[in-house]
Amino acid sequence: MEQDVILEIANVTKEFPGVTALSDVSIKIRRGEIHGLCGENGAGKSTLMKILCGVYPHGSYSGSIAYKGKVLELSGSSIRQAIEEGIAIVYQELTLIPNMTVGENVFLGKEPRNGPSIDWNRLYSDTDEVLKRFKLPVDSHEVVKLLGVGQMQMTEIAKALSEKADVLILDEPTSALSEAEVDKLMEILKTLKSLGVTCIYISHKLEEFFRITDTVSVLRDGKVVSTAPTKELSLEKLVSLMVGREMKERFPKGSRKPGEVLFRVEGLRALDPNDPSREVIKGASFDLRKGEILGIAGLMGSGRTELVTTIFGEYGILTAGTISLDGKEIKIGSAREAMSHGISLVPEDRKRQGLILIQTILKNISLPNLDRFSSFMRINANAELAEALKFSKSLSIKAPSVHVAVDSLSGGNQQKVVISKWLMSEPRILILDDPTRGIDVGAKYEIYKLINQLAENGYSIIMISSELEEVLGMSDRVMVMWEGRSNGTLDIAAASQEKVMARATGIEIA
Amino acid sequence: MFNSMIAVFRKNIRSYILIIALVVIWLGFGIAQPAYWSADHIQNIFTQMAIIGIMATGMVFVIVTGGIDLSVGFGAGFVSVVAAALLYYGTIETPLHALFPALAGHGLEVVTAVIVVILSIGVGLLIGLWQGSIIAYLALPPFIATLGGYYIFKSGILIVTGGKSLFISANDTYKFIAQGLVPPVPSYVIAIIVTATMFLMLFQSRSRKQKYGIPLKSLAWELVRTAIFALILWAYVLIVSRVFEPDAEANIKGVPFLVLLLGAIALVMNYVSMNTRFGRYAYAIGGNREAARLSGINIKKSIFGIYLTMGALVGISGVALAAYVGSGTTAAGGGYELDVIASCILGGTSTLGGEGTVFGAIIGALIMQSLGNGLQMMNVNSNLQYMIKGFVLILAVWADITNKKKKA
Ligand SMILES: Nc1ncnc2c1ncn2[C@@H]1O[C@H](COP(=O)(O)OP(=O)(O)OP(=O)(O)O)[C@@H](O)[C@H]1O
Ligand SMILES: [Mg+2]
Repeated sequence: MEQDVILEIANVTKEFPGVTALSDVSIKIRRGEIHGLCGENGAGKSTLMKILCGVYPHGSYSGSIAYKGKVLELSGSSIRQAIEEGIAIVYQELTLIPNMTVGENVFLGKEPRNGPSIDWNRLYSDTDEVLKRFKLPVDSHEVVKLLGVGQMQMTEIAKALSEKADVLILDEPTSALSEAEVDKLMEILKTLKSLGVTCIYISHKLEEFFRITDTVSVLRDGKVVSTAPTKELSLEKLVSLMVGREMKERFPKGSRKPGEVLFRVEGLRALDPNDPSREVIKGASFDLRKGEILGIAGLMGSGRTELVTTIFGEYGILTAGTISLDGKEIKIGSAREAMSHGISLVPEDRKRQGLILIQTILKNISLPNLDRFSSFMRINANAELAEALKFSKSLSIKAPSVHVAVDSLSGGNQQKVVISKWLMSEPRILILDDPTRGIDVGAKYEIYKLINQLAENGYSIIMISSELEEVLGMSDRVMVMWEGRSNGTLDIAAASQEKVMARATGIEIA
Repeated sequence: MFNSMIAVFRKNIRSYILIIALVVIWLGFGIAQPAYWSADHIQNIFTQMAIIGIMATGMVFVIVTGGIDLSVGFGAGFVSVVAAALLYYGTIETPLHALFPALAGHGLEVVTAVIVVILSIGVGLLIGLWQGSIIAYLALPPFIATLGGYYIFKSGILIVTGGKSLFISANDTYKFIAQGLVPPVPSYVIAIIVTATMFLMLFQSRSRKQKYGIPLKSLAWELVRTAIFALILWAYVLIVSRVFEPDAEANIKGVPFLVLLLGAIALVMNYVSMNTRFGRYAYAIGGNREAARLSGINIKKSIFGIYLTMGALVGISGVALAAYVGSGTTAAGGGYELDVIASCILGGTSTLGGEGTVFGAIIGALIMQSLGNGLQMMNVNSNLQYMIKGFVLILAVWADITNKKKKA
């Protein structure tokens, strides 16, 4: 074996009932490099990583893995084994315990002890040291549920690095991060690299590969289609390797003519329901026309999600302002009332708010739409199935059938299920909170096309996105949020990345 | 074709594993103790499990939403003593006779029984209304709300009975509910209707699926499955109609009314669980309450409806219990709640919520009863019987969990 190869994956095949997730995968990871891994949703990226850290133990797959020159045999009885070997992972989905502090989370399961009791002082000082060493800007005493997603992600990294890690696996760490936080993460990865840590990096934001990786491997349908040094690749090349065909444009052109104003929010102010002394929305106003796509941009924590969930009747306590539909003022007290007004929301967190993981794709998609399939008591199961099949096909949800439980799907395919569920409800106003997070470029394009089509058919769309390019590529107008208030709405013709950022950071105030 | 049938069977093995367990229990006890297979015992066993079974069909919904109902035992007990008291003191019969002097004898007995049944089920509904309200609208945890109910109804029983047993020997119509047999000929008619409906529905659902362009399962397999169910049904009906015992007396021939009642309730509840919004919402709420709420489901209304339904079933069970025992006793229904919960769990209902079937719960109740009866017939020391049941429950759930893990 070559000297500088730390991890050699050879001919690995992994099967699930009805799916071959990986077939004959071979990749060499060199010591000290940042190795990018990309591929469509369901290509097998997460599965491969789960094999490397023992979630799928030795024996549950065929092929072999050599680590530091020895065969890696993880028993799967405990994830500790991989950590002891020096392989740490940050999973695609966050795994922190919300009610514990950062320090408690970082040392969960390996708390420093003083006799029989936990040595709290050491726990926090050790946490602080880890945070400092890798330059992670998080407070070790803060309770996790009060952190933003970005800081939670940093906490996950601290947790992974709290013991000596030689290999760090990051599975889509940036899917929920804002651009500024992505920049920060890139810095952290560079620091890690300089400290000699080998990194495997998965992402659907392909630009990131060109910023930090040394090598990129592409998976398609469970097979490796290419492993090449990053400098020999281009964005177009990477996309065509991933999806197996050329993609000329990232955003489909729509031809829509927004009509008169349908929905208007004026001077909205609201308090945090969990802590009513805190004002989360400090004055938001915007209007939405018929058949229009209104983008909402803003930094993480600028109150975008809080604003739309408040409008949807599920979050803030309103203290001022009005919401009107068709020129008439309306009050929305719950999701159900919002839906009765024809407003639907694709929520931000698919696992917690969007899906019933133990249920099938079919049942998840039809859940908000059962009234449509029901006459008196009975649900017309066939009409339900036919409709669900239509959506799973048009969004190309990758699964053996619509009768498999959603928790066996890859992250991106789960997201497609959430979107289908709400597209089927045919609302007058569809609010999408970061709908393409974790979705591959090909499927993103399909979702953009669907959104355009909806707008052309007269549906009004509100779309939050943390990717500036996406907001600019899809919207007719962009409303920018800054510190809990709306800081102006820009016409797309007049909008640019710089202008949006100036508003989002409060340099320019409307 | 045979191979494809086996493949389908393999895929569904989990849903049949309970039935296989049941068959094993029956074979085991039957070989050790031939009386286990006697018509008498077959007739009894389904009657004995009926009250637990009826409540289990509702408890599945409760547990599926992530709740629990500890009050069903004494709830049913309370209803049973109310019914017994109404009959014992002639609360209905006396004024009825005074108002309509023409009404007497058998007629009076029937009208009285009907009124008592309606009132008693009404009491059950009130119980459901009470618990549903405080759980759904006051957001009390189900465990605590129904633990409260447990004590309240226990006390209610003591108050109504005044510490003595209230016998209802006078009204045979009422006792028919639990002790009566539907004679062979009407039993056959019912069995014919059920069989015909089963096959009709099979073909209807296939042709409807075809219309929507949905791929069909193997016809052979679906036919065989339906035929097996029909066969079991007919075997039971023929055995309890004593076709194989020509010299049996007429008064022991027929399907127990209580079993018929259980069958009807189980079918309705099974249908509700699979084919209505009410059922779907229950599973959604148990699977992920937050996602269900954001999907526009009225959670409070659903939960309320489920405890109300449970109350109605408690009412029916209470009516049957009084008729079965023939009296209202001070300990009526005590401990039933645990048997009901155990049946659901044995039948595959997850205590974490979101999973469980009515059919499974009925099989679970049947397994518990079969085991209990078998142990009794084998003269196993009664002190040991609970222990054996306990181990079986633990074993069954453990097997289920490991089976699920293997699949993942
Ligand atoms: N536990 C499981 N049971 C059955 N199938 C599974 C299971 N886990 C993953 N799969 C299947 O294996 C395939 C690969 O999934 P994986 O999660 O590795 O994809 P991925 O490349 O990480 O996708 P994404 O970009 O969407 O996260 C998918 O088709 C998925 O449905
Ligand atoms: Mg993944």
